[in-house]
Amino acid sequence: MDIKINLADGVPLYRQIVNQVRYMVASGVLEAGEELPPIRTLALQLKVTPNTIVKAYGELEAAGVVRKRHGSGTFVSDAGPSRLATRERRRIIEERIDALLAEARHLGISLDELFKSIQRRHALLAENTPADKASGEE
Amino acid sequence: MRGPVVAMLWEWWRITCRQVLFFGIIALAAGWAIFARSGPDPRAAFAAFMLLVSLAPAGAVAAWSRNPFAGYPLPLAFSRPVSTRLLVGVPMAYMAFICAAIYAVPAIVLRVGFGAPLPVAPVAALLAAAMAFFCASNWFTRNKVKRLLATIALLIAGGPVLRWMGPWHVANGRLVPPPLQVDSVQLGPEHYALLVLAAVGAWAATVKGVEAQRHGDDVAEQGRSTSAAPGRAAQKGMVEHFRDAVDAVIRIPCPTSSPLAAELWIEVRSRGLPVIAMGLVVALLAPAALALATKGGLMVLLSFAVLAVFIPFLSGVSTSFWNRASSLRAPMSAFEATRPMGTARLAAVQIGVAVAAILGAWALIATAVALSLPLYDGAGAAPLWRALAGRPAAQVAGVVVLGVAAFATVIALLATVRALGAIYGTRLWLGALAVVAYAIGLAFAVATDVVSEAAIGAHLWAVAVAIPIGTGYVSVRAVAARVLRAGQLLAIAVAWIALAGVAAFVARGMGAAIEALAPAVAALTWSAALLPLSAAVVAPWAYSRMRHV
Amino acid sequence: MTNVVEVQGLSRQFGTTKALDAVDFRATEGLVHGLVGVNGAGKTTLIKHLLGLLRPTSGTVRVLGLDPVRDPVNVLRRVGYLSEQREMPEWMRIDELLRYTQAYYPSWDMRYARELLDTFGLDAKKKVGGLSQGMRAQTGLVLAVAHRPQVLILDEPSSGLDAVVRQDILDAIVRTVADEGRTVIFSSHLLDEVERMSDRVTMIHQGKIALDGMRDDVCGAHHVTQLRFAERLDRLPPLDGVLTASGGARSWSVVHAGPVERLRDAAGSVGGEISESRNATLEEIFVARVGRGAPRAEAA
Repeated sequence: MDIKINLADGVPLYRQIVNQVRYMVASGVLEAGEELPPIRTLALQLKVTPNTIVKAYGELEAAGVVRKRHGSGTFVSDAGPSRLATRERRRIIEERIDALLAEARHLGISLDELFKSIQRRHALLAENTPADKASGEE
Repeated sequence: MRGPVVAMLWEWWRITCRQVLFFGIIALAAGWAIFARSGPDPRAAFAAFMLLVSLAPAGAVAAWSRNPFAGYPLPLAFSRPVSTRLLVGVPMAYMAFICAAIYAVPAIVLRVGFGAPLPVAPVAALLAAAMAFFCASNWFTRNKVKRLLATIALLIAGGPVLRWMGPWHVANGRLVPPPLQVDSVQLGPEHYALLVLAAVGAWAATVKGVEAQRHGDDVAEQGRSTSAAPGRAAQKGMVEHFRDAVDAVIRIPCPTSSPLAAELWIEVRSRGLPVIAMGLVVALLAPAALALATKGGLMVLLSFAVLAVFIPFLSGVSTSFWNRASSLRAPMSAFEATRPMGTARLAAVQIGVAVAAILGAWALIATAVALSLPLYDGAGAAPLWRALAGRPAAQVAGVVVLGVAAFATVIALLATVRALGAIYGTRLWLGALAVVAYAIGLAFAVATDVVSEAAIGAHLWAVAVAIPIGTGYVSVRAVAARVLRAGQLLAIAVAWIALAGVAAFVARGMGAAIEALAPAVAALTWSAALLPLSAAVVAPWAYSRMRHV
Repeated sequence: MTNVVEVQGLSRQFGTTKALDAVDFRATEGLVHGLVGVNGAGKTTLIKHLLGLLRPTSGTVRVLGLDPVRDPVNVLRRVGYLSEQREMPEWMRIDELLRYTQAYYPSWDMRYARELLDTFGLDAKKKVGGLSQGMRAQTGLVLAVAHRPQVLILDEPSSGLDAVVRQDILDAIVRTVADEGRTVIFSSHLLDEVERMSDRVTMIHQGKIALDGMRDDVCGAHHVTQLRFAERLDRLPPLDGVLTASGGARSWSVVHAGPVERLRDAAGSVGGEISESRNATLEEIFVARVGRGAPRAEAA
């Protein structure tokens, strides 16, 4: 599992792991029923204390993203992946939108200007990458 | 390995095995040599006996001579799950055992092989007990002063044991030892019980002391044990203490005019002045010691003499050539080795300051003793002055110059041996020990007329030839390696010639003639006269080997 | 969860210097505890008390419920220790050293020890004196973990080591905790390491506990916030909870303890507003609290 943690992020390490797992579930990198690495393995890989992984897995379980199975491992829950994914995707985008709005306010850019910029950039992007739109990546 | 006790015994054996085996074999060989010649002669037996008895503790102690830790010698063991009682008891028992064994095994072999009248069990028990006390006196505290006092007390207590051996007497101007029999030393069961009790008492006292070391109680008095190893922080020896004391009184800023001046400053400050301060302290004790001697007798005088001679000497020699090694990897600390100064000059300054400091300390002590003599026997030093006044001043001056030169040679050679020891380690020490043991054996053999004069003659010739050859070889190597410039070598040679001139002058004045000596001795005397030159050449070379490993 | 280490009111004096002053420290089972502090703050002194290598001047120390000074054998048997100097007999070979250490610990696992030697690539026939710094640390680590101690105590385990050997040390910490929930206590200068590897962080400064709490709580309680002011300021006025400040004119960056809202109110009262805020890293907290620009009094 390709997770990276960044100490300088200001976000607690377990939260970073939770976010990245949610992202991977939402984008389909992790499929329903797939097993997450054991705590020990992930702790060794990321060079963090195992209790951080325990906390992260715990929060993921509480949020219904993963499920523990009788001590034999942690698995992505199969509770309606598309529903989960959609909710997750929306959450991620909304976070980015919040950040964009805050930045725009600081820079003194109005909402209208922002919409126009988004449309302009979208058109540019559509021109340059016609074929990739169908691959289903974010 | 089964259990901590076995592990500890194994560890101690591994640390001491070379010295134990070495001394044991030397003891056996020397005894064999003596008895092979003279059979079970009681006089020869006594020589052998004294040899064995002195080699045994020497062997046990030699194993620890290079241990840098004060107090308990293996503080690494403090973090192991062993009780302090075992930590002290097992090694103490081990040391006592090997000390007794170095004596007992050769003694038994000689007794069986030659019928030599060597007492075994009682002496072994005494040696074991003595070793146990010696360990106790050195392990119970890290404080150097306390340890020194304990060792001295032990030596003083050991005196009566020697007297127990029997009547010594003087005949034909030689000290004749008592004849040795198997039962010369007798210990009844109550004596054995007393020894065991005393040893157990020593063990218990040591456990208390080591407990304090283990739990850092004594670190409080020594100062903070920072990132250094547990025992090393407390290694602030007497010289360091005196250095700090001197610093509190005199503080001369370092001269920046030349490297030589600066080097002299650091040597004088770190070694020269502290040693002289130590000499001053001992000198101040002289009146008290002499006053006590009239009551306490020979022992007090002897102890004071030992202190007076050895404290300045050991301190002057120890810090410079021993603790300079910063780590176990480099024989010379980087701080010293990277100073932009020629090795020869560095060596000269170090040795020169050491010599001056020790002689200065001794001079202070001698003056104090001379001034306090009236306290001892009323006559004072008057007879001494009279004897000196009888000689011409030039003679006296010449003798003084020769004395200083001889002493400087000794110190330089000691520095050389230490420097080489730092590089070659155990090999050199074993070699040196072998030579010393051989010499001791030879001396005993001669003293008991076991070996004829001719053998000695051969040895003397060998040494007499070796010295000039060795000196020549090292000179060539030193100049080739640019340790000594040709000019410096020339200066040394010229100085030596001047010294030789003084020696000849003094010898003629004293009426001694070299021609009258036996050829072997004469050859050795000529060679020995070369020693100052040898030392002056060999010391820088050894330093250079240490500096550029 | 039980406390494997309980230190209460521990004070230790060396002559006139007070190395530790009424220190309270608890280590909970199954967690990794990080000790941070500047050189000479008292980390090694505290650790030595846990091993019985120092006796408290006042206060109590209990490791696994036992007093390490009065019961050294039972405590030390269950503790693995790697000292800062990695003191080991120089003359022993590594395989001899393993056998020798095995004799002291009934729970020694020789197979595991040999596995570790292989993993680290150590030659068992080499003498300890001939090892490099990194190899010494690895050997010392093997000795400390091979008997599967209940508590693993590491004093500056990464000091002087290259990145490769450092990974080995961190792996050992992870393994110890992940397997059967044993406890690790380690002191370090490398704050990024402490931040990743600790569950609980304790900061010692001048012999006193400056900070003690779960890592996420500690980092979450401190923030680095960017402030923007309407007017140019030569100096930032003292604001509630602010530990250090840097910047100039209208833009300032502060490290502060306490919730961001509190700073917002305080800054608002002097005409400033918050533009960005994030959790502080352990290094930023450390420098703010005990660095040279740190406030003298204890901030909340």
